[in-house]
Amino acid sequence: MKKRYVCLLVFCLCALVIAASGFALHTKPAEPEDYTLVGRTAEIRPDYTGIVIPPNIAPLNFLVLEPGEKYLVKIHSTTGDGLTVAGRKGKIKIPAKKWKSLLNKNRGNELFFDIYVKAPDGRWSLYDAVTNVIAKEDIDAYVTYRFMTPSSYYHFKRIGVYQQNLENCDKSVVLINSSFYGYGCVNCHTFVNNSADKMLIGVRTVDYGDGTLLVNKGWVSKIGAKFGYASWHPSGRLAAYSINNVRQFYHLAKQEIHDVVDLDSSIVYYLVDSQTVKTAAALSDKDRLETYPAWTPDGKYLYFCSAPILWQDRNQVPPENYDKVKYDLRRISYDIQTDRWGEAETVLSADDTGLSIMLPRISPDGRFLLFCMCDYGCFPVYQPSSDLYLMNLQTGEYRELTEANSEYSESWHSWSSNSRWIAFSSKRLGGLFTKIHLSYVDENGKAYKPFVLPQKDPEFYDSLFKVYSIPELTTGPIEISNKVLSRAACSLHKIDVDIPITTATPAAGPVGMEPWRRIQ
Amino acid sequence: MKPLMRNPLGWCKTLPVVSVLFFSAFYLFLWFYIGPQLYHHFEISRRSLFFETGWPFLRDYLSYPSGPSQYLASFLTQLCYFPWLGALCITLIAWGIYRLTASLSAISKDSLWRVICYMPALLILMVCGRYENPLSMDVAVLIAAFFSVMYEKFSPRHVPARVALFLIICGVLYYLAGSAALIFVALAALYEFYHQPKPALGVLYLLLGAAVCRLLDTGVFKPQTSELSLYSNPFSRTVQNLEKEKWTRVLEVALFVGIPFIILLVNSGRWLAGTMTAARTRAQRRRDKSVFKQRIPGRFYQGRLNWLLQVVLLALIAVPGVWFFHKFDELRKTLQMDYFDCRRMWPEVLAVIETIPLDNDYGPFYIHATNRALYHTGRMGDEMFAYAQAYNMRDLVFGMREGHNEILMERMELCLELGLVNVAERIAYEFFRRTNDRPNPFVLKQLALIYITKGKIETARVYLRVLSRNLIYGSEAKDLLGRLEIDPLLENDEYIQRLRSIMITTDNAYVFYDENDCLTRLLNRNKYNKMAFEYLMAHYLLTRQLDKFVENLPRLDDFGYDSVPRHYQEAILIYESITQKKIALGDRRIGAETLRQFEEFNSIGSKFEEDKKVLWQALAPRLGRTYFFYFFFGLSGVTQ
Repeated sequence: MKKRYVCLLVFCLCALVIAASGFALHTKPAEPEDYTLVGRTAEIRPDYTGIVIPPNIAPLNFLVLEPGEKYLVKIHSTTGDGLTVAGRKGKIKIPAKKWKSLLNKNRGNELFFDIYVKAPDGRWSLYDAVTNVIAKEDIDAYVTYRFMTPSSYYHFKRIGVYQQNLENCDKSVVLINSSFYGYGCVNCHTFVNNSADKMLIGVRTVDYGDGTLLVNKGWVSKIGAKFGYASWHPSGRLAAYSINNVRQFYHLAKQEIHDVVDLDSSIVYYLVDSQTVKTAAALSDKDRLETYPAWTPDGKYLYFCSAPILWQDRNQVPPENYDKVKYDLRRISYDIQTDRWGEAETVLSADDTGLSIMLPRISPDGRFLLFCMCDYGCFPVYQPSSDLYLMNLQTGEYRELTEANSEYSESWHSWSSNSRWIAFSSKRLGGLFTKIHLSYVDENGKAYKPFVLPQKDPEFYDSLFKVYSIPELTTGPIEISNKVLSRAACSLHKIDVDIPITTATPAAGPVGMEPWRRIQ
Repeated sequence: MKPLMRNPLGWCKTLPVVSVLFFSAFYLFLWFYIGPQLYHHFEISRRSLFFETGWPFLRDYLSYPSGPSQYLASFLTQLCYFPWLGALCITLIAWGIYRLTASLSAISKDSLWRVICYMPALLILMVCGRYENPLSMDVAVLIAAFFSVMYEKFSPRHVPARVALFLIICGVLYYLAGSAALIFVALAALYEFYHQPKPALGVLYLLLGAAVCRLLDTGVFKPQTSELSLYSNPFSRTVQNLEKEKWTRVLEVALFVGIPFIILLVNSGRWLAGTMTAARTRAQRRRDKSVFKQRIPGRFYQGRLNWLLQVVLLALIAVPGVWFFHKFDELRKTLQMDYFDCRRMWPEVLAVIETIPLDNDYGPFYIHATNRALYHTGRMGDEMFAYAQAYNMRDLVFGMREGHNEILMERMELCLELGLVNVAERIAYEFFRRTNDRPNPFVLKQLALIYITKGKIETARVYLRVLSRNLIYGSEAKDLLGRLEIDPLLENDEYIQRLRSIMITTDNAYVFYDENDCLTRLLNRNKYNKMAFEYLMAHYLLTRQLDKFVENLPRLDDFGYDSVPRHYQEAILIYESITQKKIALGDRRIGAETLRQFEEFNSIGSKFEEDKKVLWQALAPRLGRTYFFYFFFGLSGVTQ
């Protein structure tokens, strides 16, 4: 009998504790009635102040950096009830459902964060409201990126391609190199028209050779050629890619210790149906370096970067004049029906800009060309001088995106499917670790202050010594699993392709000398 | 209760004397001789289990099978930083495994067979003696043994319920300890086979156990890589295992199968003995018992004899076993050097190197650590060639192609001290690469200092925040973070200011660094960089570039040398002899002893110049620790 009462008592106590916790969790924290106005905005991290945010973005959880004992944030807009969030130690984690509802109801309106901080003496202070704007246009729901440590650039350890759902911060692995024994490199994920149904991922493995995985509506095939920087023709019938004889070297005194040079490069294109690789003379000039192909949305032009080779010795690393190489922006017309190429023309000359023009990406609506420019060379992520620029393709005018740039490198940019958002890698948070930043670009080509990719934990980036690169926005998730992709990567069955022998670059198709591995 | 007076040693019957003696010796040997604090150093750091406080680190470990046991092992490894505590942890785990083995085998502590229960503990000691961190395997085995004992004690009589309990434990254990669940499977099967006895159930357990583990691995957890679930499996071809030496793997395999093997042996022996006993006649048994009683009067003496025999037997097994598998001399000394080196205890580094026979085969680590210790004790110019130097290892600063992680650490710290900040940064990332990006606390701290020096304060903060979660070094990181709040560029910090004053500011690009070029650039940047000067001169001496050596002699004035260091004197004499040019030394002189040695060298040299072997034998005992010897033979620090 006694035992039964004891059990009942314990049960009741547990139920009481659970109920109290539930009550505490669900009770709306009360706004303080008595407070002092501080007269400035609170410092928060990440910096989510004065930005334009997509209405479908995940909660922008942040840390309040002002000293205090308790923290309360009221988030409100023009329409609907706001929401109030209390946080310990300054950590503000916004409930997702309420956030979503608030943003959805207030497209095009301003969004305010009223931040209250309670001092140890019990007095509350209210900081000036953090004001952001909710855009009318959604952002693509997913971003795919490469995730690795800074050391992985020159050794194949711990590299993976991941995707994150921008609406709820859920992450998943697309392909990670530890899935194939002996490690290797995974990179250069490219999608057709922001759709995850059709994509390419490059793999370099120690034991299974190099190749490119072609994913098409759930089917994976391995092409026996390592595609460099690739770009899909909007029809999905072919992909242009670069072949790069890339070498890495090191600086003794610069802020950035790494540097990269293409000793040689050219552009070829892979035809999916015929499984062949071809090129054009303008894309594989033996005296020039061609790289970073990018198709226009109508598929009529291929933009690319091209620079003259400034050294005699094509094996010396670093080559002479490596810091004088500057790429022009060029384009060439193409007729997919006849598979004919036109004449290449210079769109923007490095001589005119004084800088090296890199990574052209055309907006899906065909109106703008986003690119970056840096002091020299072909790898803007290693150049602190690398900044984003936007060209109006109708007028040919371009300007620096001062709204989005920083004193550190900005690069690896991409567009959302509605041409309103850009994602890019920036080293602005510290100068070493690239993080994905999102920025709104309006119809006139004006960009707005970028913000870092939100995470569930506001302190996520504080001790993260990894880099994000090549963010690509997609409308849906990549459905195919890491297991299937890694099986394909390790497969000996592949589509054999022959690289045209007229190019100046070494064959990158079958397993050859891996430049990355030659670096000591 | 028997009064103690009547039977003064009667307490021996109840006190586990043998285990107390054994584990006391185990603990003391581990603490004072092996030194668990050394597990944080040398190659072990490549496989060292890192630990961070906080939920994210724990969450990672909880997300895959064997994660919890690895987490615990990581935590316990940090305690090895304190030698007495690390030794205590390992001893307690070993004792736990012993007790569980004894419980499973049900051998009385008075029995000589009890010795067999100590074997797993002995294997642990052997692994420790090879300076392999035993904790990840030990913890997994301990957990498996514990669950096995629980199963035996609490399994219900009803067979279906027992099977259900087995499956539950198997699943839970697989999650907790990965492949060590197979130990439980084997023990449970043996229990069913011998003790119930239900042989069919035993066989069923083997099949079910394997199936459960496989199902959980592929169907439930689906780890990103199969390595995660095979972590405690010494048989598998994982990166973890392939990095280990052959004998270490053998010992770990023995530990993995040890307990099931012991139980199988003991139970088979019992079964056999039972069979043989049944065949003896009743009369024979009566006769044997009375003889036994006559020869050994009283259980008291029988008890003392037994534990004494156990001790002797254990000693006979343990001592040669541990000795055979140990790597005390070579590896221990290297670890000690690394230990002192990390703590900048330079006289201790040299004290260790002096215990190593001079003619030993030195690797780059020894040479690096020795030279660095000599520099910091102000003896580099005088005694460098009294220690081992080798022409084929003349690359004092660079050359990441060779050596293990400890040499990378050494070079990283050396480069930073010299002012080669970017090179140190690069080496740090090379180290990360080799350790699968595990946050080694030494490297994290160096990176933080590098980025503070370069003005990348936010990047430095990232590394310091990671380091602040380290159990041992966290407080240091927090202190530095606090200082950065007050003085963001640490302009009042002497060390940082010194680095900023000597770091190279004129760029050059390399694939492979040129030692001469880099050291010269350092001196061009700051001519008072004494370390750069001494290393540059050492570089010229090692590479026999006496013309460049002599060119830089006037720099002695920049550093206020009262006299010319011994080896510099020797090099000057060689140079003057070869070129017939006199070097002006101002107020400084060549010492009389150096002159005498030079004459002796020339005299012996001219006698035996035809036969290098004879020349070596003649010169080594007297002049093997001079630059004269090195210049001629390309080796130094020899005595025979």
